[in-house]
Amino acid sequence: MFKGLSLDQAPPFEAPLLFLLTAPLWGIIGGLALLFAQSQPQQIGVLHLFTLGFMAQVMIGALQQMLPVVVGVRFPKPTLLSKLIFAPLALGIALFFIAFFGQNFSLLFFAASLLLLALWSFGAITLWRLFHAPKATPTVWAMRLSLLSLLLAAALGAHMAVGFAQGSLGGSFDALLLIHALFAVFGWVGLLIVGVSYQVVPMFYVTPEPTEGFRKWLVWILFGLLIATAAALFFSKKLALALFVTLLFGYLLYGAWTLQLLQKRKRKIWEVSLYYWYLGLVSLFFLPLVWFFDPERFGILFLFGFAISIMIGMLYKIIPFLSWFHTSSRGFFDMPTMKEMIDEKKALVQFGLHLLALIALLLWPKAAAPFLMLSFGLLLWLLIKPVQIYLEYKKKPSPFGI
Amino acid sequence: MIKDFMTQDHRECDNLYAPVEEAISQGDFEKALELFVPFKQAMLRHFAMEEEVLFPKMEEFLGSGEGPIYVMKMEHAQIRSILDQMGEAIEAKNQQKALGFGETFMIMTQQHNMKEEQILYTMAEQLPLEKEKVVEQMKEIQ
Repeated sequence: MFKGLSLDQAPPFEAPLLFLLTAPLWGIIGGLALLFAQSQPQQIGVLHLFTLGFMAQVMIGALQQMLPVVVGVRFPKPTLLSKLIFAPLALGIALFFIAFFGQNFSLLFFAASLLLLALWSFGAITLWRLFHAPKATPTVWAMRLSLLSLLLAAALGAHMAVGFAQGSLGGSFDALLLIHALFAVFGWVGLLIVGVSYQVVPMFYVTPEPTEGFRKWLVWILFGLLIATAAALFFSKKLALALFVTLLFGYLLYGAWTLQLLQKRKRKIWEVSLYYWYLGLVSLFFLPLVWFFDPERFGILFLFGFAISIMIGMLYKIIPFLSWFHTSSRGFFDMPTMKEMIDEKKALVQFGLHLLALIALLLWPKAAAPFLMLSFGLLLWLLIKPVQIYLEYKKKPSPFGI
Repeated sequence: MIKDFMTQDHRECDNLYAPVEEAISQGDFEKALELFVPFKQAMLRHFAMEEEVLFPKMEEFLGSGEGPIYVMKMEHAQIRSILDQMGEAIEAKNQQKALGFGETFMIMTQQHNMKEEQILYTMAEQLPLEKEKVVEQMKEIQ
């Protein structure tokens, strides 16, 4: 009945760490590149440093960690698999950026192949695991639909990249671009955050738990609206628009509902991850407004205001915890606590820098470049300390001989 | 039945923890210690319910060894150790340490609870255990 089901300790720290710790590097490069980005292709290149480089890497790292906890199954050979996916992904991101930034579109053949290889193998393996979950909780459904969206977004992205490389974009390019963006942003990114938040918000902050019915319905409504919007693009722009605005309000509902949970939280302490949750969720409220005035900026608000904020907030918890956990699992009990691993005051400075970057991106994107570099740079610097502590203890022989 | 009962007990422990942390953050160590004692007792009682009643019953069907139950017991040991250190830090009125252990305790326990609630208790429900009797026996643990 439970064959292959193990509650084994999480995967080795190195497996998710490879993705999580290198993610801010792409953010730093992205900030730098933003300074020099002029043309639209160059902006596409920069954008993907953040979406593929920072966001997808954090999400892949986090999924590796979450899967054993949520589903009770871990990846086969986690460290090797992690490296096998990381190598084509990182190389693919670099080539994708160089191709667009240097307007050397023939490189996109290689970039698209590598990215498709990495994202599809990760997506397919994870989906397969998720469809064998012992129980399909709302989180499991959100993850499944998120990964399906990833597969679609990656396939469309690769298809368009090859079109660029061949110099023939085709008649349906605009529609494909919209569908790619829709599924990448509101499917893959949005649904994963929604699903993970179902688990982590009540647990980390001790908030009330909403009914399973509501959580499941919300996931399906968001995904349903996403599919409907994409389908409507082919026959009625007006209908697609109406459905899309409804989708935005769906996310707004999620934001309002999660905010009220946080307001009722029993853990009253304010810490940097909470500031990030509030910023992320409050950003959702402004989506319809910003979209109405400036459809281009609203994507920035969703990505940087909502998604990246929440991801950074979670990194501040995940990395010190894993460092502590893996060290403690080997029998050490004298290492620093999580709070000692991350300098809270500097983390708040980092939050301030992120907020400034967000405001600048909305008002005058070029001015955001230094804030982005500083924000991601400080983030990386703060996250390295817990990893160093982990590595120091790793060298010591375990008191239990483990 | 087992799942609902044990999940509920997890939540009650969380609810006992939150005010301890609040008292520490306000620097009220006397109040923190007063709240910490029953909270720690509730945690240890929960572990005892599992280790003395539920796990042995499950092991009758699953066998013992390095399976999921073994991992859960290992994590209990890790959590007990943090609780001890957190208690010492509160007694020593060391706010930073106490909050640090608190945060570490919280995340460690939450990921542990998640695994139990999502997987282990679901397994227990699917095994041919006398569920009402198991719950009754667990309630008897002090």
